[in-house]
Amino acid sequence: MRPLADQDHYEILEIPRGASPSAVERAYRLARTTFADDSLALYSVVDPRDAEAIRLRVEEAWRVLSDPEARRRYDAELEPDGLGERLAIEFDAEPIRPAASPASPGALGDMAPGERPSRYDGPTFRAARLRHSLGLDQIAEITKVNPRYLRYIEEENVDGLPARVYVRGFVEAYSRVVGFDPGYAVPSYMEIFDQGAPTAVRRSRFLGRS
Amino acid sequence: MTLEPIRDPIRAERLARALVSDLMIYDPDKVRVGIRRDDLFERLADEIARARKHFQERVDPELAGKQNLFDRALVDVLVYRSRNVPSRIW
Repeated sequence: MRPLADQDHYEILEIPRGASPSAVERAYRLARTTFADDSLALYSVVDPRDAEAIRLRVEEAWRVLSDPEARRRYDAELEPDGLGERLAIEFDAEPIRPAASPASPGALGDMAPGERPSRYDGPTFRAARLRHSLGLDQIAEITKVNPRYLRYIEEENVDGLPARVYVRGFVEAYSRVVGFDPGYAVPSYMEIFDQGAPTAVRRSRFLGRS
Repeated sequence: MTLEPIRDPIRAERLARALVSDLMIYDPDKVRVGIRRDDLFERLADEIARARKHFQERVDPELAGKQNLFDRALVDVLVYRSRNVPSRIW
């Protein structure tokens, strides 16, 4: 079996590429139960940190494969038998517009080192990162957080982020790398996160309910 | 207040690579299609221009212009990391 980091979403859920939506859902529910926090099947077999990493991958796989458009884009990335070319061209007709430019200086552009931002929002994180000349891929390597989630944090794309508890951990890790005090940065960012989507919606997404 | 310009070539190179690698994370599909169709730099013209502007604002002008650090990062990071994408470029 390939290392977790190298597995694609289909491998994570142990389903074939052409799996039907109902098969995807069944596989997701099975994986979620198997790798649940209190799973007896995992007790003393899988390190809790590994289990958490798997749970994150399972949630990410479900988020992508349960959304027909996201799945089409993802399949295009995988490029099986040249199918990706056609799908990528279709997708190209409607490009995703990021919420913010990745290269904008942002809120910290003119802030001196040691000063504390009044608000730790996405652009503030991005600006701090660029002040340290760090790419998102480097932050991902250090924190072990998927770069896509780091990008969503910078974009304040609450819909793309997983459950609150994970986001809190991601933001804390990101804060440490760019030199923010998590005691200030995390509550400030989580305020933005909490305003982004109603609690009930996030909870139902986390539980896999529509 | 304004930040001190970057005068260390290594730090400037790191910034260039960070800015360019961000393009891949923020716009992976655009990069992929640009490589496939061999119009990467036209397709990403706005994003590259913004990244370049940020680079030029942060790095000492003499250093920024002398070693083509940003353009080298474009090739090293953006193009090289996309080498698995089928394209007539290769």
